Amino acid sequence: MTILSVQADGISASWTKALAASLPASVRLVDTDGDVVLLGGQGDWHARLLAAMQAGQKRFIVMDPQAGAAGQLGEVAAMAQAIGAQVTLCETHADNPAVAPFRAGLAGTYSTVTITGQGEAAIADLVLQQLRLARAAGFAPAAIVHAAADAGQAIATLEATFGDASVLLRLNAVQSRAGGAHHRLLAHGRTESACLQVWSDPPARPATAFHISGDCTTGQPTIYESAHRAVLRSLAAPGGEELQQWDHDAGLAMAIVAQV
Amino acid sequence: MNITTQGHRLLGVGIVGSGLVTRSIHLPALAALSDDFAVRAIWDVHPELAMATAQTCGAMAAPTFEALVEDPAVDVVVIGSPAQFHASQTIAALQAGKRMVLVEKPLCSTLEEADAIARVARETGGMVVVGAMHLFDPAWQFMAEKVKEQESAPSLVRSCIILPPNARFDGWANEVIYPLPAPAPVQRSEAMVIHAAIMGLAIHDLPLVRRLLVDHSTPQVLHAVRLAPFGYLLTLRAGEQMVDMFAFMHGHWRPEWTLTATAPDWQAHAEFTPSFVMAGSGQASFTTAGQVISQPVMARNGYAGEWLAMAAMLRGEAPPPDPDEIVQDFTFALAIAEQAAALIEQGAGQ
Repeated sequence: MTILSVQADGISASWTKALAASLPASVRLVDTDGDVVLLGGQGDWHARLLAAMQAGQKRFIVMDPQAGAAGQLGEVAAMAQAIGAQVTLCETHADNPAVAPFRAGLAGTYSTVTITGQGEAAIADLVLQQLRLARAAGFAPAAIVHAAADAGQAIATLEATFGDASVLLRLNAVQSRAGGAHHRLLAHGRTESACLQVWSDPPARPATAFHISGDCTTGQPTIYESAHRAVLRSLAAPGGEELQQWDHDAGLAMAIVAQV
Repeated sequence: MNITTQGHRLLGVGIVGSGLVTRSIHLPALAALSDDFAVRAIWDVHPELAMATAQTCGAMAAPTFEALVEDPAVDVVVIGSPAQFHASQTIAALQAGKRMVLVEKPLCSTLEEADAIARVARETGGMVVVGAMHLFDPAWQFMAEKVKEQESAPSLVRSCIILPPNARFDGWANEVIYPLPAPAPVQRSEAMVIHAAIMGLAIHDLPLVRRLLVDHSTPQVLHAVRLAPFGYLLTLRAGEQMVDMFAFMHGHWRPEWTLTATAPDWQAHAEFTPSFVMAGSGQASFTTAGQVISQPVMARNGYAGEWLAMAAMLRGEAPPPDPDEIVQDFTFALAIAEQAAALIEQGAGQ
């Protein structure tokens, strides 16, 4: 088995070491010339990504990219295409390993999706986490119907699609230190509903997911795996589309929080 | 006069209306409080239903509304008729000298009616309690107490009411004793539907929401959406606070009725049972960065709570309700319903 060498850029050393130490058969942490660069998604991550590509690196995982890079990924995408670089986005909520089986279990007709969530992140990032979770769960955000926001809370209604069907997406995010930071998605239909709650902390704390039909509920098995570990393990093939979708969603998030 | 085991005089109850609320909620709640209350009379526009209902609880079927409110054995009148009759019947009961009127929500239909009820309550000294059962639920009382202890106000309040159709609960809550024909369907505009949804469903939580806001006056309705088959999305702003109200009635089994108030440093949360069922109180929690304090389900729910509160008021053991408070609760709800209906009418919703 080939061990992937990984170098970190803009990520806490202790966190990276702990992550690598938990995957000893898959990952080896190096200081330079790694096969893959783990890039912290805070602040000017798009500029750091561009600089790393210009320095010759070609495989990247951007960890929890923050909304501040909205609208600034054009040059990054162009350079990635020009040099054949692979950029994978790794998002704590959207890439939680429970999301894909949850999405696969959505068998109903859903008219409305609500996501409520809280945490200490900036309100734009909380909203972005919700938009990305919605998309990963199968509900692609399209346009803002109405939004209201302050520095500490946001409520937004968006048009979205689930396959070929239109759904209304309702977001509710609030900054709070109380309890565990999380997002909870509920898909509402006439005869079916579904629920997915994903935690925001890095440990492999299992999400809660269940699907509801007429007279029963089917619970999804717990998965003790974090998004970060899962992405490192799979290193799923990225593509330009992912960056474009992220940029679209980040643009929506910034537009929502601008509705003071 | 009957004397209870606690040495109290048994309080007589007269009930106007024999529908689901009376049979599923008040009669079982009163039966469990038989040391405090005895149902004396029931009146309904359907005399056969009133008779059948009265027989289940050892009460008399009053021949007319007037006979019920003039019955000297009745201390408390429950107004469980359709909302358009609430004001006139409440005022008539107060003017007949009744000491207490429990009027089901909404209090009435217009601001003028609400003011008139409060005025007559002050003139007669009669007390009026609105059947906002969640205000009397131990879960809300726990939540309200914790919120009151905090220095900061919640920045975001969320009311979430997800319910199966009422028919899912009818069979568990009560039995049909006198079948009535189904009411004829009513044609309503989208604006009328959302107005009715707010005054019929959101009204359960709006008094609680009002008490969580720093400015108790009316918030601004920024956005309103009517959801099919039945429900709503409302975005409200009250100063620096925001309120998210969501309701959805679906066709499957699972209810979820919650009220959550979140501040930067704390979160208070209550989960209620659906209406009608006698499944104990809601449960509540108060969470900070490192601690969760919770209150489990209690045996007595909000329905029992409102009856016990009325008993205490009638015996002078608790202060009487402030007529202005019930008017303010009604004004708050009506203003939200009217703003939401106007937004829908203007095409601002969906």
